[in-house]
Order: sequence, then structure tokens, then C-alpha cells
Amino acid sequence: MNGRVSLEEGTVDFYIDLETLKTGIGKRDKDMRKVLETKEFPFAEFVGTLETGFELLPGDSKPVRVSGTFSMHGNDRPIEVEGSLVYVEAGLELEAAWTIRLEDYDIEPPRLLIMKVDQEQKISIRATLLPE
Amino acid sequence: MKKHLVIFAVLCLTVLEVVAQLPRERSNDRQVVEELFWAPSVIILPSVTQIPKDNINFSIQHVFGNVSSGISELFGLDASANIRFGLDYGISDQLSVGLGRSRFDKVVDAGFKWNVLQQSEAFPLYASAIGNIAFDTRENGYSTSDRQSYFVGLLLARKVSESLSIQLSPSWAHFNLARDLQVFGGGIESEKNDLFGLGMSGRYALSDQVSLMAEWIPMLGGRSDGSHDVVSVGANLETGGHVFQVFLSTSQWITPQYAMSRTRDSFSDGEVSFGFTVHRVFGIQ
Repeated sequence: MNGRVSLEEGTVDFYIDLETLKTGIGKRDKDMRKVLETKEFPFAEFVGTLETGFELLPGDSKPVRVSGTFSMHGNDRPIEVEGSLVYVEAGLELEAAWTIRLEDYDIEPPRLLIMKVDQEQKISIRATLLPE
Repeated sequence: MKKHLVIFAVLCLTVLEVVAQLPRERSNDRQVVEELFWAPSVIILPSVTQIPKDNINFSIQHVFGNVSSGISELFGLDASANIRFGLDYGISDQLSVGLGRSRFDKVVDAGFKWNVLQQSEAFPLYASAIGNIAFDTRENGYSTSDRQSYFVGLLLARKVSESLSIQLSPSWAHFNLARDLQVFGGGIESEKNDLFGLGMSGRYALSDQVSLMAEWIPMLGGRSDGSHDVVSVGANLETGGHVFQVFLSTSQWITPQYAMSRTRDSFSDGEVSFGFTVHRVFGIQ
């Protein structure tokens, strides 16, 4: 995953090449790539702004709310995300989680006989952002 | 003029917005074609489908008796079945090793599969090297050398379309011991030490869960007396973590070199056996 958070500008920008997702089971990875049609739509991305500007000093840990657009599978949806930013020696540690509905992104939930993947899926990210 | 200035300003703002974003770069531009076959084996022969790194594939294979035995033998299900348990481990995404044990002749086999080349936009097909060494572990007085047999092959495969994949498998099988067998009615049939075959396999997907497959291993040059080509047809059922394969095959032997040497049923005479294989993949991390 690649991303940039600018505290001065209050902007947040993340993207991930979905072909790099690893779940630990190769077959499941292939199935996921097929469902997400990663050859045609390789990226999931979020571009947004920090809702409130704030200062972060070394050692600080603060909750953060971001609003913006999450894009996946060729569809853009406005979302609001809550998470936390921690100012560590290496940079900024970011944690955030939100829930999407697959139908909002025109993704057909995989199904087998009577079993079907749930429409609501939780997305969690945890990243360390290095200073530029 | 004013209109042009407005357009220019809008364009500048758009450019600034784009510049503010990180440039989107693919982590790996090499798009490897996947899922030529749904399991590491077609029916008897291995397929180019690899076990991913740190994954284990457990397989259970059964081949029953001849279907032509009729209802009294429940179309071969009452007959003695060959059974093989197999474990394959992905050392990397291109290299796997495996171990198996078959009921017939208590054959234990150890093998490898190395995907040397993979089909992508830059290359038209998969090329994989496969090999195994097998031991007859029966208590029959054979020497260690006489118990050994080998199989080496090259798998050349291409996903022709989303539905159709084909594979060509030039193969060599070697038995240290070529047996002479006395047959009913007198006479001797001799097995060969070395056999060469050209496996031809195909898979046609009917849906995301169901596909058909076929396999033919014509022998090149000589063959063991009384043996016939391995011919198999079947279907795959993909259920996520499992792949179920059901098939009809002229071979009750599962290890490829034994199938090439000892298949005595003829497809053209309708002599086939029912079999199934269950593959289950596990991640170990």
C-alpha cells in the first residue's frame, strides 16, 4: 500500500495494488482477484481530507476523522472514516477501519450453493508513513 | 476570451488536484495468467497449476474396478480400489515438492514441480519441469534398486481462452526392473524399462464451479506387452477450498510411470474404471 498524509494541507491519499493482497491461501487470493476483476480495476484508493486540522507532536496519539472518496472496482463512493494517528519515531502510524457494501461497488459476492459472501465487508488498514 | 480563461483556470485546478495525488503505480506489471487447471493434477498427469508458497495441498485419490464388470460388481465399486494419499508443499510460488503413497504395490513416491516459465502478456505458455522417484515397498524380496522407478516430464500449457486450457506433456518413465509376466493360457508378457509418452490434456470450464477435462497419454515407440494408452475423461467441481474430481480412466494406476507401463484396459473397448480425487489446500502461515 502507498499513501501520503499531509498534516499541513489536511489531505489524505492512499492506494493499494489489489494484485498484491495476500491472505495466506493462494487459491483464495486467486478467487479474490477474480471477484475484484483486478486486471481491469487494479487499485483500491482513498482520497480525502482531514475533517479538522490539528497538530501532532512526537509521541502524540490522536483520533482522526477523514472524509473523502473511496474507489474500487471502477466505482467511487463518498465515505467518512474514523481512525487514529500516532506520531512515532519512524513517522506516522495510521489505523483506520470502515465498512463497505459490495453492491455499492458493483461487486458480485461470491456464492456456492446456499452459501454467499456477506454484502457488508470490513476494511482495516494499518500503516506506518515515513516523513518525506 | 473570458470563456477561454475560465476553461484554462479549470484545467489548471484539475492538474493541481492530480499533482497532489500520489502517482498510481502497479506493484507488479507482469500479469501472469492463472488457473489453467483448478488442481495440481489433471487426472493422472500433473498439471502446471502450482501450490502457492507456504501452502499445502492434500489429495486423496481413488480408482475403483472396471465399470464393464456390470451391476453384480456395482460397476467396479466392489472391486479392489487403488488409493493414493498425497501431500504437496509450495516452497515458492514456482516450486513445490510432494510425497505420496499408493495402495497398489504399496508404492511410495516423492516428486517435484518447477514452473520455469509462466504464461503472461510477455510469454505465451507455461513450461514446467516435473519428476518423481517411486519405490515399491512391498515385502517381496526385491532389491532396493529393483524397487525404484522414475518419471520425468515437461509440461507445456496454455490458457487458450477463459474457458479452455490445453497441456502437452512429453514424458519419460524408467523402471529399474522390467518384469516378465506369465499370462493366462501360457506365454510371457514383458514390461519395458523405458517408456516415452506424449500426454495431451485439456480442461473446458462450463462455469466458475464446473469444468470438464480429458487426458490421453499415447506411447511413443515401444510399450509394455499387453498395455494400452491411458485415456481419461472427467469433471472438476470447484468449491473454494476443495476441488473434487470425478473421472473415468483406463488406468487404475495413479503414479504416472506405473500408469504408462501397466494400463491394461482399452478405451476403445469401453474398459474404464470410475475414480475420484479430492484436493484440499491449506495455508500454513
